Amino acid sequence: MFLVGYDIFAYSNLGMFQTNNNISIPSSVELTNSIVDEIHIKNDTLSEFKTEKEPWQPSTVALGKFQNDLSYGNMNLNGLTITKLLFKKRKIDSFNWIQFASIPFDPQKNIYEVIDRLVESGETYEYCVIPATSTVEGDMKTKTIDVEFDGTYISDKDSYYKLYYNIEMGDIVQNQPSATIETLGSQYPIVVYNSSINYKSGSIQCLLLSDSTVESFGKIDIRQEKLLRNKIMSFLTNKKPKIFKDSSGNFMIINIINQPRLIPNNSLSGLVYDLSFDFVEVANPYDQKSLNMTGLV
Amino acid sequence: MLTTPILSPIIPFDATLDYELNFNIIGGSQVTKNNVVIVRVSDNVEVYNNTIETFSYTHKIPAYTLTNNVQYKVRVRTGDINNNYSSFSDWVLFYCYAPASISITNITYGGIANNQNYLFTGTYNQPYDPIKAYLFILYDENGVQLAVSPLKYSSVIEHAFVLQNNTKYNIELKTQSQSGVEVSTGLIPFTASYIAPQMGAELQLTNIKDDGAVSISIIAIQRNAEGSNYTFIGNDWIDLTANNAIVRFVDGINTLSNNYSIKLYFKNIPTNKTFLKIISPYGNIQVNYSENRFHAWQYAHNLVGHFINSNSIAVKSEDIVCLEIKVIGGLIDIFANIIS
Repeated sequence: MFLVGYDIFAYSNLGMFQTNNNISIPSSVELTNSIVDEIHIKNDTLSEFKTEKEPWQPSTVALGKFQNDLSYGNMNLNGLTITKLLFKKRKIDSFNWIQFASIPFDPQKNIYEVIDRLVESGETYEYCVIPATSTVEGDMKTKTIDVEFDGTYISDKDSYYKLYYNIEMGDIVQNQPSATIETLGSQYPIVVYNSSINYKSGSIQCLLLSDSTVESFGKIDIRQEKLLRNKIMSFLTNKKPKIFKDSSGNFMIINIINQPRLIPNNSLSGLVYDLSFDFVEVANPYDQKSLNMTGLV
Repeated sequence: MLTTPILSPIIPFDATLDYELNFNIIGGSQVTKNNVVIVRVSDNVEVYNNTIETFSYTHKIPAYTLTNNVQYKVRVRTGDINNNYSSFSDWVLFYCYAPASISITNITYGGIANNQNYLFTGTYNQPYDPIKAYLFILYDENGVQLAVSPLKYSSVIEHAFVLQNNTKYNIELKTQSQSGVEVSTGLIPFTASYIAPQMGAELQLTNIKDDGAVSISIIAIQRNAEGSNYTFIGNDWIDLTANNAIVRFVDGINTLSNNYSIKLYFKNIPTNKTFLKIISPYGNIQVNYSENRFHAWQYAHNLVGHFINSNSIAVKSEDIVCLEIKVIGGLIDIFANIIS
C-alpha cells in the first residue's frame, strides 16, 4: 500500500498510470507560427472532443478570443475598460429590474460577493451581474433562485435585526379610505373612494434577547441586553424608512409610527424586555425610485 | 322645434383629405338634414355652402374643398322633414394645415443603433403650425410598449433610451402642434448592436435561510496574455506568422491540474514547426504538424514522449482546424478536425 500514489520511478504524480516524463503542472502556454482564432484551456479531459466552440465553463482556466486584445479571462472586454459590476434582480414574473448593488471592478480581485437582504419569502427571483464601463452596461449573466427564509426581520441599509423570540404579529390592515353614502331614492348605497390611498399597517411584539444571553444558556447578560435595547430603540426612532419582512411573505417598506415600547418582563426581574411597535407601509420595495429615495439601496 | 346646434372647437385638419365635421344638439325634434357654411376669413368669401340629408350630426367636407394654410370660419344649422331649419350655430374659426413632416433622423427603417444609451433625434417641419410638444415611444419587436419619454415642450427633438445589446426594437416619434394636430412617424424597426463587455462567469446564488438573505457571488477573472510581433486580423484572429511572433499565457495557468485540455482554432500552420508549447519547470510539450498528423513531443526528465492523433488529416494552409490536446497525467490524446 505504501506505493499508492507513486509510479515505478518514484514520481508522486499519478502512480502507475502515467509515463515517467510527465511535465507536471504547466506554468505557461505559448502560441507561435500560426493564425489563431481561439484558445480554450480547461481542467477537463472527460468531455468528448467536439469542434463547436464552447463558452466559459467552471473548469475553464483560460479562454482567449483575440478580439483585438490578448485577454483570456471570463470577461470579454472588447477593448473596453470595465469600471464596475452591477448587481440587479427581478421577480421572475416581472420585467422590472432593480439594481441593488454596484461594486467597483478591480482587475486584481477575482471573487465578488453581495448579500441581498431585500428579498421576499416565497418568491422566485432572477439575479444578474453586468460588467459595465463608465457609459456602457455589458451583457447580463442571469440565474434564478427560490427564496424562503425563517423569522421576522426589520432593517435599513446599515442595520439588520432578526426578531427571534415570542413573535406576536398584530393584524395586517389594508387601509383604503372610503365613504358610504345612503341616498333617499336608492335601495343601495353609493361607495366613494376618496383617494388612491392604499397601504398596509400593523404591529408586532417580540422578546428581545441578546446573542450573549442566548449563548450562555439562561444567564442573562445584563450589559448586552441593555446595549441591544438601546440600539434597537435608537434604530426604531431614527425616523427613516425600513424594510419589514417575514417568513410568511410580508415584505414592505415601512415607517415606525406611534410609540415603540419596551415592556419589562417582570417574571425575569425586568432584566429582559419585550419590544412592541406599530408600523405603516410607505413605499413599494420593488420600485427602484422608492428604494433610492428611501435610502435602502 | 329644432334647437340650435353646437359646434366644438375644430383641430386643424388637412384640406387634401375628406373631413368629417361633428356637431351636437340638445333636445328638439328629429333632424333629417344639416347645412354647413364655410367662409374664408381673409376676404369673407363664402367657399362652401352645402346641405346633406342625414340623421347623424355630422357633415363630410370633401377633400380639396378648402385650401391648406388658410383660416376659415364655419357654422351649421339643422333641418327637419318639413324643411324647417334651426338657427345657425355660432361661427367657429379653424385652420387647414398640411400635416407636419416629421422624422427620426438618426435611425433608418431596419437600421442599427450602435450605442447602449442611444440618443434619438427628430425633425418637425410645418412652418405654419409650429411644434408644441413631442414624445418618443420605445416598443419591443412585437410592438409591446417598453418605455415612453416624458412629454417634452421643446423645439429640440431628442431623447435617449437604454437599449439591450443584440435586441430588436421599434421606435416612434409623436408630435403635437401648437394648434393641436398630432402626427406620428409610425413604428420604425431597428436593432441595438454595440460593443459591450461580456462575462462568461457563472453566478452562484445561495438562499441563506436563517438570515433572510440571498448571497450572490461571481468569480470575475480578467487575465491578459503577453506577446510580441503579433497582429490582429479583423476582430477575431491573431496572426503569429511573423518572425519571433509569440503569445504567452502565464497568469492562472498554474491552476491547471495534472489532467487538462487545450483546444485551439487556427489556420496557416507550417509543417514541422512548433505552434503550441506547454511549459513547466520540469519540461515542455511541443505540438507541430507533419505527414498529415499532429504530433505532441513531451520533453521531461531527459526523456522524450511522442504522441500523434489517430486519424490522418491533410491540412491546407487556408483550412481552419480545431485541435484539442488532452494531457492526462503523462499521457497525451490529440484530436483534430478541419472545420472549414
